[in-house]
Amino acid sequence: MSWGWAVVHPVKHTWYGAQGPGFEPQLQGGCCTSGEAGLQLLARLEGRTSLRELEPRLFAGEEGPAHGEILELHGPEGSGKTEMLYHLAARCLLPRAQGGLEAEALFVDADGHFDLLRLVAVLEWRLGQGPQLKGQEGQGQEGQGQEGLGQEGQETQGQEGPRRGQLLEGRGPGGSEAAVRTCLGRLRLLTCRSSTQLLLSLLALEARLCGAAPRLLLLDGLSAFYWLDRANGPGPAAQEAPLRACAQLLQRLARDHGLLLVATTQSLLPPRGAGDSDGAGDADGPRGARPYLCRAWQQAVGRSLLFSRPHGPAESFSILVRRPGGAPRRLAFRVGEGGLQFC
Amino acid sequence: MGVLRAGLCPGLSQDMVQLLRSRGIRTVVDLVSADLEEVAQACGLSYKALVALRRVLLAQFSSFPFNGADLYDELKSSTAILSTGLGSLDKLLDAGLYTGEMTEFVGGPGSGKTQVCLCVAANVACGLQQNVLYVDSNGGLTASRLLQLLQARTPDEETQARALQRIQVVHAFDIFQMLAALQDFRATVAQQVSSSSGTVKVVIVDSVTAVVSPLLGGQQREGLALMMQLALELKTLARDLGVAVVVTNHVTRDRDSGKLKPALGLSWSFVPSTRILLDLGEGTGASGSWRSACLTKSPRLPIGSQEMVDFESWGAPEQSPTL
Repeated sequence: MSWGWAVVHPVKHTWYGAQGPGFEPQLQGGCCTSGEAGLQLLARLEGRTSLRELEPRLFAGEEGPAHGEILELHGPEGSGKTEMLYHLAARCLLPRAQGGLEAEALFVDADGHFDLLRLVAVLEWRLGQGPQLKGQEGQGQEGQGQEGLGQEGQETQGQEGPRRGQLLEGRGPGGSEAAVRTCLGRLRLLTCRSSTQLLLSLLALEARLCGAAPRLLLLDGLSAFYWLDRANGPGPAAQEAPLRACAQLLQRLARDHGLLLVATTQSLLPPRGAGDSDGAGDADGPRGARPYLCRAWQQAVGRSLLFSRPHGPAESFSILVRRPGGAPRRLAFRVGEGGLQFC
Repeated sequence: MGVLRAGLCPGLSQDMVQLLRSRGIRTVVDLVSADLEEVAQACGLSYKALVALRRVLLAQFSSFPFNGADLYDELKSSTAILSTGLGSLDKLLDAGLYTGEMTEFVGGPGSGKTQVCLCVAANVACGLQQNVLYVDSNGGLTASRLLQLLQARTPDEETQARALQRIQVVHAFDIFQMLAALQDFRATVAQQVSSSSGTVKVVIVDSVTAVVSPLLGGQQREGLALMMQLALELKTLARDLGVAVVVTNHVTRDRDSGKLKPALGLSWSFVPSTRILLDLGEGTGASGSWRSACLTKSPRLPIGSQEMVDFESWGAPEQSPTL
């Protein structure tokens, strides 16, 4: 980590002092500032995680993403990008006894694909697996509750009939309902219907970030408004303006407020290579798929993962991870009852 | 949404709008992302007033972050699974059509897309006793076929008449008519003009290709924007009103692999949550009532599973409605 206790926090206009919690926040320009006592600052910086800790298998064998980097998940439809977001959200929301980070997460849904019941199914399955963390004792009641869940979780999976039907009738594994609610209490969901609303919501979020900040920001479908924006007016300036502003704001959020930012974009243009849908062959641009979003976004993205669909019903999904100065690496995963599993 | 005008929010007077416009701040986004100190100095407005204005505009126009636990409670009580009346299709859909999502049926001509829509409409109106909005854009809807389906379910004429009354049909032969129809529907629901027989649970659009494909290919930009506008409208309808949206689409052949793929291009393929490909079954010929259905996109089941669907089997008594 490049920052430590001795470095001045990069958020601009932050003061340290003897003021206690009664200090009034001041609004200056476009950024909310607050006077924090040193103890509050330490509490905020303590236990900062990086993307690497969130999912180590994504970055195995590399230096890992730098602080403030945005991770982009790119791919055609049905390639598992939203599933990956559910997996990362589950890892963030689950209690430490289950191998999670027990931290707050914010999910921004721009293309209307977010399915809360699917996320609940993933959380329930993972909670039903029992304590995961090595050498760490369960946290009081939750730890004891999990052992009983182990059997009940198995029971439900073996039952016939749609899983979802049971969930809706409230007959989920007994005892994990409270645990799931606790996990969900750490999640906030924001739905956006246009790029202007997305921009305003992110600005409102930035203004609110002085207090308890979410650790993880997941943005699903950043390119959902691409064609709507292109009809905005003649010339790329008018068309790209909302996304450019969003990209700059997201970069600011990732760098200055230390949010872990993961965004998905869709491959809206057909690949140029002959029949090579994942672009691993002759690559166009640094990411292997045709880049079409504005330059500001391409510069804001630190690392991009290219997803591709399985070729047959028994195959697994795959991710292409490009490394600077190295051969691209392939990861494979399957999607099951409990979400994404790397294989 | 964007332009600043007097009365847009409390505290925004005509003079303020004029002063801001003279400094090049015309829209909400301009004001919210500007440096308010500079603006206060340049326009001669009070800094505090601008800050308060900014806060009010952000609260009004930005989206509110909901807590996951509250949303879960709400969804548990309001999400429903609607059976289509055809057992094998329900198996592919994981018990039926989910409210809050868009399901797409694609297939070539004669593959049974309109029949599926009619079966869904009849089942929801008669079996589940909920209202249906049927937006017809290619003239495939015939009331006599609906009556035939209902007669297979119940011999009582009064029940059949009541079920037919629950199906509201709108004809929309171009995209503007369709957008207007959807917005009228939304306004009707918002005013809570409730009929005695329940709320609308399914919106069926047959077909989307008929209104969108004339727009594509020429002036590329506007056509795609209108298509995405329709997609946004349908998805918002599904989410906000808690209805299941069913659309039908045609197929084209992929240039490289020769396989069937849904029409309307890559951008539309991201829009539906679930997609089922209907095809004439091999060896049964076009005269039978059997079709093959293959799941090609699903948020919760593995894709590639295939079932044979028999339209004659609709209305059999062992279909148990799920609501």
